[in-house]
Amino acid sequence: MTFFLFNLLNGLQLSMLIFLMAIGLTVIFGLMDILNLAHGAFYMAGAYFGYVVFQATGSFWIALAIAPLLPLVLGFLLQYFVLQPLIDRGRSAHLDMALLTFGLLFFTIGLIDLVFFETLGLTFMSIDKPAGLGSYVNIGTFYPSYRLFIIAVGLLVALIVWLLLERTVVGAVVRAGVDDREMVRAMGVNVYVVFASVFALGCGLAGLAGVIAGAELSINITMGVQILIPTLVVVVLGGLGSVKGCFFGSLIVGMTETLSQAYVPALALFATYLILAAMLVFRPQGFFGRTPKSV
Amino acid sequence: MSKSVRKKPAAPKKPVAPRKPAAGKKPVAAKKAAAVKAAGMAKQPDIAPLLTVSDIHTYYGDSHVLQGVSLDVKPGECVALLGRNGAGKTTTLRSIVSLTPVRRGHVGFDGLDITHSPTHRIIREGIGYVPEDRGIFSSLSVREHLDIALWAAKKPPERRDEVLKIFPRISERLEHFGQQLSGGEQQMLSIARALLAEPRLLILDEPSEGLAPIIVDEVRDTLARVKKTGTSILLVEQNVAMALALADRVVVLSQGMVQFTGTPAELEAQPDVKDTYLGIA
Repeated sequence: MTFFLFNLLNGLQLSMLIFLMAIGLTVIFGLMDILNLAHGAFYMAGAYFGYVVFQATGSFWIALAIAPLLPLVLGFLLQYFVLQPLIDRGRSAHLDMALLTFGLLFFTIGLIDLVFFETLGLTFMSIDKPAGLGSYVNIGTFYPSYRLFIIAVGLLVALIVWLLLERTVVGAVVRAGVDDREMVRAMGVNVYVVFASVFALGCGLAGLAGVIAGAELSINITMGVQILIPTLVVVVLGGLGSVKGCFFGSLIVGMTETLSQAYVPALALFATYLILAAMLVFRPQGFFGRTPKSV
Repeated sequence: MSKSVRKKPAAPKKPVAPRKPAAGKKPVAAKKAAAVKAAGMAKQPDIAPLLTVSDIHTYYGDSHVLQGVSLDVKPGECVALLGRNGAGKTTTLRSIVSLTPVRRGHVGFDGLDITHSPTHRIIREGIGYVPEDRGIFSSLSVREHLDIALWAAKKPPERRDEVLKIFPRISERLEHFGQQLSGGEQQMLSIARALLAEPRLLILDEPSEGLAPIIVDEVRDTLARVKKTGTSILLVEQNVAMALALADRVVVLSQGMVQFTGTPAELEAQPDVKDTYLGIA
């Protein structure tokens, strides 16, 4: 029983980390039709910049507060000055954007490798857990308190994003944009600023996930690609631009990965992809996806 | 070509007060004086047009859809753009608001060259756009539709109450979602949303499409009231009767070119135009 509880919480913790990544990816894809494979790069930017800030200040909390700003700003610049102008020139095919952002991901990996490994000689880095979150709490089993913190952050971000999208005008603009982008422009909304801001927020959350992961897992150059794959599965499972779908998709992927590893290790390698394949066959629009078109 | 170059007979129209041109805006380059415009221009020679479309060419890929369309709309005037399916009516409207880019030619609005302005800036200059499919968001409530329009136009919430007085049926359905509305309600919402920003020109793409005759009458009466407030209207319609009931002038398009410009009375006097380009005798 305690083994199950332990794994359940581990699954929840992984789910929340994936959710922080996937929420940006799915809203960006739904709203702008950009499959941002560079999302893994923003995750890495958060982790590595978080490491730098942590080394400079010695504080996890300062790193957590400051490091996501780098991917946030980079994300805004990328969307506003690179991706949007390309879309305006007609280069909006999914493949174009996917290839470009995929290239950016590997450029980032190369750059990080050059700076941190080739130049500074660092390989596996990590941010120290903050005081008070470094030990275990007894909840029937001894469980790392930092993982509970990850779960709490994920739930909190999910709630905030949901409130933003469902209860504010800008959120309504984003949902309207997922339905019919052109009409949002024809209502006088400056979609360039809205798109870039949403893109930036998504990248900021990826950076936040990076910092958080940097204190639990190790910071290394494969981390971006590692997290990107389950994140992409979540986007397919949940449906484009849906917070609810993204949340449940993250739970399914996180739980499947963790529980299959714990109970049926032979299945662990492909259990998630089995679900993905089934989804693509039977419900390609995802759990909560809708045909993105106005009535 | 049955381009009307005749002067309009007597029938004096109610004069419309011209809007004060905003200071500091640079005038559009002198537009090409197309002969087709002569008839309309002669009526009110002293009033500058609010919207000027000069010889625009628009392409979809390699397909040359608009081949030099020129028309204008004066302050307070209702112009109907008629023509068969595929004549280029929708493309003309989309070109005016830059949803489809114009390759050559100019679009001027109130003395500003808006040919290559981004859509949201054109809308904010004072153009309301009601698209062909009504553009209602299925997963947004009626209130949210109006909220976005208020936010984009930076209008106070009181403006919503003003507009809703004209649309009582919409005000009863504020919490309904777009997909729960009937076709007529969607059309009314689309018009209400466009009017929130107090546009000087309202552009509508087939507002009667797919609506029951009684609802079409309702839409027509609503537009007549909008026109009475001094708002200019550019209307694309398949429903010629409705268009002629509202329009001060008619522009007939065929194959991406203007074939006729004149008053509804002048159109009536040219059965060959109606027959050839509109399919009605």
